Formats: sequence, C-alpha cells, structure tokens
Amino acid sequence: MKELSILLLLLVPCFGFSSKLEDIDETKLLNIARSHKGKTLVVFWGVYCPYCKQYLKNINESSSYFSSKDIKVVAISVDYDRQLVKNYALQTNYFFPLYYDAGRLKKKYNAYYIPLTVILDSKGEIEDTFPGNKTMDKLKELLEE
Amino acid sequence: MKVRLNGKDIEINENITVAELLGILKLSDKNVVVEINMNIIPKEDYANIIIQENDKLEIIHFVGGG
Repeated sequence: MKELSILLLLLVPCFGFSSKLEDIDETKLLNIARSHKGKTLVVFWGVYCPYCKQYLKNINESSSYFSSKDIKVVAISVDYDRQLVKNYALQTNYFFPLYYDAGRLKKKYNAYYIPLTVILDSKGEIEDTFPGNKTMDKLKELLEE
Repeated sequence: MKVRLNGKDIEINENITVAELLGILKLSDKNVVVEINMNIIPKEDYANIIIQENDKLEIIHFVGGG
C-alpha cells in the first residue's frame, strides 16, 4: 500500500500542471517564451468566463499538436480572487500550467476582453493577439501564419 | 467626477450606478464582470451600487467566437 502511495505521488506531476497554481509576472513570462525555439501561446482567462474555460478545454484536447510544433501554452488568470483560481486549478488536469497574474500583465496586454490569446515568438515579442474562443482549426491557422 | 476604468482615467456623472454606467457604455450585463476597487460586484447589485469618485473599475468582457 505504501509503495502504491509513493508511486501515485510520483506519477501525479506526469499528468499535468494545472493543480499547481503559480504566480507569473512579465519577467517570468518572457523567460518561458525565450526558453524554447517555438512560439508561446498565452491565454488570458477568468474563472467567471464560460468561453474561456471551454477554450482552455479545447486547447488541452490538442496537446499533441502543441508538443509537435514546440509551442508552449501558458494560461494566465486575470481574476482578483486567487483562491477562486486555485480551487479551479485543483479541479483540472491540463497539460499546460495555470498562472495567476501577479505582475499586472492584464494591463500590459490589455486583457479586458477574455479569452485573449497572445502569441509570442522565441524572443518574447508579440506576434499576434486576438480575443475570443477560437476553434482549434482557426487557432492552428493563426499559429502557423 | 473622475474614475479609473480599465487602467484609464475617465469622467462620468456623479450618482450613477454600475447598471447605468454599463448602459452608457452600451454593454450588456450578461457578458461582463465588473470589479470595483478589486471587489467583484454581484450582478444583482449593479442597479444599487453608486460609483464613487476615484473608484477603480475594471470591466472584463467575455468574448465568444470571434
């Protein structure tokens, strides 16, 4: 039984990021974008936003596409209530990390229309930004432009 | 009077409610969350809460499709 518990504890991180909510600021976001050769897909979302949660779910279902293109996905909550976001994160098991905006990224990226998608290049420069929960086909098209 | 809306200073009339502000901005209350001074305002309070000078408001829109 003890061995099984240890095994489960070791396996939990393999299945996803989302149960762990971390703070993010601009420096951390740019470090993520610059840490790999591909693009970074940043999604600003909110717990109260049904479109956002559907969008994150759709992105999660296409994990193989993002890994094959070396695209990192980062979801940043713009909610004020950190606990609310943490509770949501505990209910999910996405392949990408959920972050809490601790660096006024909402203002920097003008994320007042959510979900807001920002595509960063490998230098951390903005390639594109668009609001709304795009279909995966449309999102792939925008990522491959 | 001056308030801060989504990071920008704007001038609005005194004694207007959140519901009236949404009306002025031509926004439906169905697809927004309104925060005043970092507190989320329940939709049922939109018609009762009067915006005060120097309040910091954030109106977050939910965008479907697009």
